[in-house]
Amino acid sequence: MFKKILIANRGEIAIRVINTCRTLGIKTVAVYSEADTNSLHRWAADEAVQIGPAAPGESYLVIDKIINAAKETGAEAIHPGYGFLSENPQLPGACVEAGIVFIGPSAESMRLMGNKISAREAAIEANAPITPGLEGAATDLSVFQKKADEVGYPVLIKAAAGGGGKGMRLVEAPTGLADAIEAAAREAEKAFGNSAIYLEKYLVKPRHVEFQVFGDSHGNYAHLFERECSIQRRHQKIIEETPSVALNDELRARMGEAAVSITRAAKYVGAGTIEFLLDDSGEFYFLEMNTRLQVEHPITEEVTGLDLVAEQIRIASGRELSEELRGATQRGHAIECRIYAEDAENNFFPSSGEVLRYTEPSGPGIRVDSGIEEGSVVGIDYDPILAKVVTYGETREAARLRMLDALRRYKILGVKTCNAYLIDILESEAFISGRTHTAFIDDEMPEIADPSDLEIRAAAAIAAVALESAVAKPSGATVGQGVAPSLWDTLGTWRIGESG
Amino acid sequence: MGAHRLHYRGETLDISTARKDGSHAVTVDGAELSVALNRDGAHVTDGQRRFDAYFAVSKERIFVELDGRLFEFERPSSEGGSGADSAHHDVKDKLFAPMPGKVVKVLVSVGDSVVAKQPLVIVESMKMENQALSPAAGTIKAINFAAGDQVDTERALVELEIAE
Repeated sequence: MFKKILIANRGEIAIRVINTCRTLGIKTVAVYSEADTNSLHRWAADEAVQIGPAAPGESYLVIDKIINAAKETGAEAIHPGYGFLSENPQLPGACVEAGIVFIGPSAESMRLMGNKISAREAAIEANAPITPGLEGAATDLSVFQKKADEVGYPVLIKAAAGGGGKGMRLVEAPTGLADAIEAAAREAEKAFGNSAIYLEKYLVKPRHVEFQVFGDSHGNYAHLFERECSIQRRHQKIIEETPSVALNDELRARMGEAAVSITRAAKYVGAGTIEFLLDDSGEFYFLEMNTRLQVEHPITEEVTGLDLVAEQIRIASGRELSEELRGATQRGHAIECRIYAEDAENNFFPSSGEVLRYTEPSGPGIRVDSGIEEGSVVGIDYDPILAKVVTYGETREAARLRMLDALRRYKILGVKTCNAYLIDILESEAFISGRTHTAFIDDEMPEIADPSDLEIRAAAAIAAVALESAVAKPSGATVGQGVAPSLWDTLGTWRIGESG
Repeated sequence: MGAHRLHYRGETLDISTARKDGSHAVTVDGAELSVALNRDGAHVTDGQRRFDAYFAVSKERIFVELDGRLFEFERPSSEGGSGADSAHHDVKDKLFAPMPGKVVKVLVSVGDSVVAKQPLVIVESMKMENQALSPAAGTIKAINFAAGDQVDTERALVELEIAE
């Protein structure tokens, strides 16, 4: 087993990996940009190395800097988290050259499955069904037009190197095709340094059901059941759950088997995810494979009792899939809500600012994986995910009620979050009855209701009193450095409370 | 005792406060409310309903969470008194970038008629392309940025002539 691991990531996922390392007795090394000098993940690790300016292209995405940081600190292995370099085959390649273990698949499997076009070919080889669309990337508008006409609108334009909704555009009618191709290619070039795009048929209202898979370097493959991630906005998941209400044991077995055969075809080592679209009639189609840990992996941990990061680390150290993993069963129900810094009332536009007040919910069956604390600055350079709330219950309804309670007790002030909107979704009749599909937010969720006059007045009344309490404070006082000015402001509540 | 003017979504709220029995008697646009601060936040009631609230104040803004819903008010500037000048984000005839970023594409031209919530400009922030939506129906009066420009949140992206 490794003695020291470097985590090539930031935010909640870096902290989540550090936490597992601690339980395994492994020392950790964080890397951080200048913008993250005071971030939680930097201080959570045993050691930390500064790797450059805020822009990811000058820090978190620079392979040489990551490798050098590992060499400098004597880290034997690198965990990439998700996002950033996690699906860039050059990182495992550079690790091999440097004699460092990459905690994840080989560069070859990553290249094969990370590219959505060759992944589709691999799925065909594994006899798994795929969505109709272009076989390869194209640049010529006429090629896209011809295929779109053939499979029928709506269609999706997708980046071959894509993920997380970036470089993806939905096209409803022929008139929107040219603009969508242009925008998708531009976004893909910026996000992935690869502008290759292709087209596939957009299934109307499918469910997004993915399978957690594992492979080891001894030729063993297994799956850890499904996660349903149908509730998405801007093609990005916000609520995930397991088990899926849409699967019965027979369908689960068939999809699991398809997922494992694709994993085997890729000679995949480590943790990965096979994504399927599932339609009303129970037909499923391979969508893509994510060659990394998923954001939503904790719900699988909740229902299986396994620590997926620990499994990744064991596999990377050369061990076989554990007995526990191979014999895992699903028990109970788990739901995850992603807390993004974004404005649900303004088309989910990202929000930035300083976290002025922060209180996490806790209790039985509640887990919060967070990357922030009071005083954290949410900047504009990185993905706006702040934290994930995961709840577990014996039944779906128990997990749902627990989530509502947890979200209501989760207080984040200073940046806009989607918290209130998540509550609306979880309280909707459509969610309660399990009518979840990828168009859920557009079709099932009403516009966010405007606050009532009473609520506006009540909030304004609080604001006025808050303002007076902030003005009443000793103006010459300072606390520490950096966050000092607003820290005093946030303390206004307590000070007035004591005197009043 | 205090008098305040705050803005919420283009509406002006006139507020007066007074201390009363250890809590605050607050009048907002003629409606009387009682605010009691506690260790973690505040309660506010109109005598019929009580809300639990949390709040925080930064240099520029006041953040209030009322039963799970977030409200943001611009903090009136101490010099200006009324605070009307600093409330520019609440006006309906100007579109501001919600956060700093880079203009990827301007989707409209001066003179175009637009509807409320129509995408006007694509701004890239946090590695994502985001659509900035029209705050109201009207006609495009001015466009202050072009593709490739860096934008902040202080200068309007687009100015509108609001339809009557």
